[in-house]
Amino acid sequence: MALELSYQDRGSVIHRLDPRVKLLWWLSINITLTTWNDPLFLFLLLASVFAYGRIARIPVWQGVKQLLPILPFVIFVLLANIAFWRPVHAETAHFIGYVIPRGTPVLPPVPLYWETVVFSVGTMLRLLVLVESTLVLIKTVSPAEMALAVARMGVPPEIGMALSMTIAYIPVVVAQLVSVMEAQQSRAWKVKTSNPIARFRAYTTIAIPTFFRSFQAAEAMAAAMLSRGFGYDIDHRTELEPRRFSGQDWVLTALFAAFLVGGFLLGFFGIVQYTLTMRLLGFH
Amino acid sequence: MPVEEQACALAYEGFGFTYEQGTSEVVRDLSLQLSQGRVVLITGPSGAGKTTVCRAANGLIPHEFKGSMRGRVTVAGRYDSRRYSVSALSKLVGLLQQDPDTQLFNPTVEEEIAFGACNYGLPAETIRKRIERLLELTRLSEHRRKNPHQLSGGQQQACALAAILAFDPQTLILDEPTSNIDPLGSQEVLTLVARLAREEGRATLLIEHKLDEIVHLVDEMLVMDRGQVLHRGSVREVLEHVEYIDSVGLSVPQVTLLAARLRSAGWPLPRLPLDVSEAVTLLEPFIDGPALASLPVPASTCAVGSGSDSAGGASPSAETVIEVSGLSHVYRDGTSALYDLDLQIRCGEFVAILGQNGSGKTTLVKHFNGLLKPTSGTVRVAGLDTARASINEMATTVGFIFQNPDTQICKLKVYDELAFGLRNLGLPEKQVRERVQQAAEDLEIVHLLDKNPFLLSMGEKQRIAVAAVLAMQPSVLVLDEPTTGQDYKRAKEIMDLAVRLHATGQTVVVITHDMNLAAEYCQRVVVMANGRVLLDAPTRQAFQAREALQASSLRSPQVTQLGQQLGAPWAWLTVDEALAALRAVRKGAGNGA
Repeated sequence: MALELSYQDRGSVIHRLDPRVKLLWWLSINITLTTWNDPLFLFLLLASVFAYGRIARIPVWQGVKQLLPILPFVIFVLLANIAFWRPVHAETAHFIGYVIPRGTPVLPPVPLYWETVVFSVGTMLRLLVLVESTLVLIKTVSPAEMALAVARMGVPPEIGMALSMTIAYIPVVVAQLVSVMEAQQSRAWKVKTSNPIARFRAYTTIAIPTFFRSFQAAEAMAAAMLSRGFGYDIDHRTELEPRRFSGQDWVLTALFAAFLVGGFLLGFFGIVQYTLTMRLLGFH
Repeated sequence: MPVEEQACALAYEGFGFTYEQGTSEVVRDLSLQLSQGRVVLITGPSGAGKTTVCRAANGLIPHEFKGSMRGRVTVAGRYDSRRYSVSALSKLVGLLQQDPDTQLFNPTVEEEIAFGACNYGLPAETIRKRIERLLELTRLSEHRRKNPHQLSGGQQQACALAAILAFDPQTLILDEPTSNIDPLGSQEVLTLVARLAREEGRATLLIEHKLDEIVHLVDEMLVMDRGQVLHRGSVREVLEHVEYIDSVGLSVPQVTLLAARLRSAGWPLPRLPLDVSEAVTLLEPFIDGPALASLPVPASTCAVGSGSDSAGGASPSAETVIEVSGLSHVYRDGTSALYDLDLQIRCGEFVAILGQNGSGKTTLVKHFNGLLKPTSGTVRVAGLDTARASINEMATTVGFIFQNPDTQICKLKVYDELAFGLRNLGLPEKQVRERVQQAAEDLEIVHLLDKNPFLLSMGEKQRIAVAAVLAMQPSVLVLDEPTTGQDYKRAKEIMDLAVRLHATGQTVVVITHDMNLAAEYCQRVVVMANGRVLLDAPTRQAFQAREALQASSLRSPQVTQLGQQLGAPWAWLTVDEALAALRAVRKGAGNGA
């Protein structure tokens, strides 16, 4: 499982791209994401991420499977939005009913609008796009490549190291998590409970040792990278297979940059807003 | 190259260090010089300050690990570690840390090896040549395109070592480079390190516990304890204090310790031997060969400690507690780990599972408590089919003690940690209290019950982890590599705990690379190779089977080899056994010396 979350050279056209182009792809997706909340467009964006992953020879089923562990969190975000997000003009919004009816002791009434449902689905999709695009980036850019790319963009080597360590670190944390889960399972720990509070408490049981061990691992990994000359002289680092910014890199850079600017502006000027899907659903 | 660089590759002058969060110096007043082509060994129990010495060599101390540093560390005669960055100093001082898993962060073995050399801007052609040579030296050629995390523990260590050697540092610092490797693999790595030091004139500082394998490879040896150097000199000089070194809990060559005890008993030995062949030469003149050959074979199949006939041990019953039939396991990535394996373990047995890295030992025992399910075949433990039994059933049947207690500890109070499994089982709080108290008393940690386990020492954490498993009163106890990364004293402490549990009738299964511990404690040995059982025999018999052991990159303890070479009719398993046997057959000694 840990290896599935790490870089694997699948020899695809994406793998051969300059790492800066891949980083730009990720930025274009995720910066755009901050301004969009329309579920339809976000769904298309998610589909484009899967398509990009497919070109990188990452099977779609693998991408879907790796989203499953965060599903409880995604559902939590969805429900939290449904419970707390209200349209600005509630008086003209499309009322469905009450999630918590009027007159419930202690709790205030929670109305539910179609706008809330559509917006909440959009928020959920944002989260899925963020996670899936990050996983695809991790699987297509090696940690060392990433550090180098960032350093060559003028970013201090320390930041490059932090970024590359984060990527290199994911399989290590997953491996720690697996061994911690095995240790707790050996003491009758189980997470399969319908009570969400019990489930949350069950997860804290694995979170504490995983955090503790991961902290130790991060310290050791940083020391190992420095002990092998990371950041010694970025400008004169040897590249065994020197990579030039190819025509393909330039074309994709232009494409992703255009998407970044266009997507951001579409969102910024309120075009890719949840109201679009509302209109398509027949709510005016 | 300036003369001073040739003379002194690394120098510690009055070095001392206190970590930021610490209250006292972990290393005190260390002065040491490493010159080119020489190999220096530092050994000592946990907490001796060995890793701190390593970290100071390339500037990790004081730049990355903060604290108060005294004295001076100078690289290549002129670079003060306080004034140069870690990456600059590392060009001259290559540091290999303990855990290879956290030192491998590149997507392929090849890139991992190239990483440092590329950072230092070596010519591409030079790097390519070095990669080829190092792949060959470390026998990783066929794995060059693999992700380093797919390698076995030993291969990972070899890969991490190659990654350091690739940029050709003048000085090499190796912090327990063989902690995860089987005996023959360890010997290969250490021999390679020593050879490279001589051939390439590299100064090498080695931190090791396994003295057996290293005595002929090092020029100087230091024994440290609690931050101070206790003894230093040539290996022979230092091992003159072998009995003292043994008493502080370090693993010493068995034949050296045996000879020291014989000398204390009045044998006029001119010197202490460092290896088996030297011991044979030294001891042979004193031994009555025919008397040795006719020594009565002991009734016990194992050494004193856990033996069926020893005071502390329990006799296995006829009832089978673990029954493995036709077990095969294929991991999700397609790797086959076990092939049609059959094994029976009886109630109350103390069994060692041995084998080289990647032989399938851990995969096998993870089937015992249902962490892994068979791809084919069945595993039944105490009558339960582990593929079908519930988590609760398996947790109360098999207690699994993991290598690193930090994997297990999840509560902020020791009491809650011990109660964790019991509460998972849904036991009433009164019963939980009683069992926690009992386990804490058994492990002598009652005084820690209100403490935060994360703030305790590694030894205390290990006891807590064991107590937490024992509180669940499992009928089978599995210890996964209890000796890895531990000094001999702590490893023995864990094994002594296992002996106490075994004495109460518990079945104990231990996975280990440590032949001395297996010989000393276990009644039966199962040797695995390539996912199959290669040898399954009582301990005394198993350690006579030299060929089977060798086929699994293992070898018997030094005293067993000594006995075989002297002509003993049965395998000696411990120093005490060898001592008793030799004293009984000393020439002209009548009834022992």
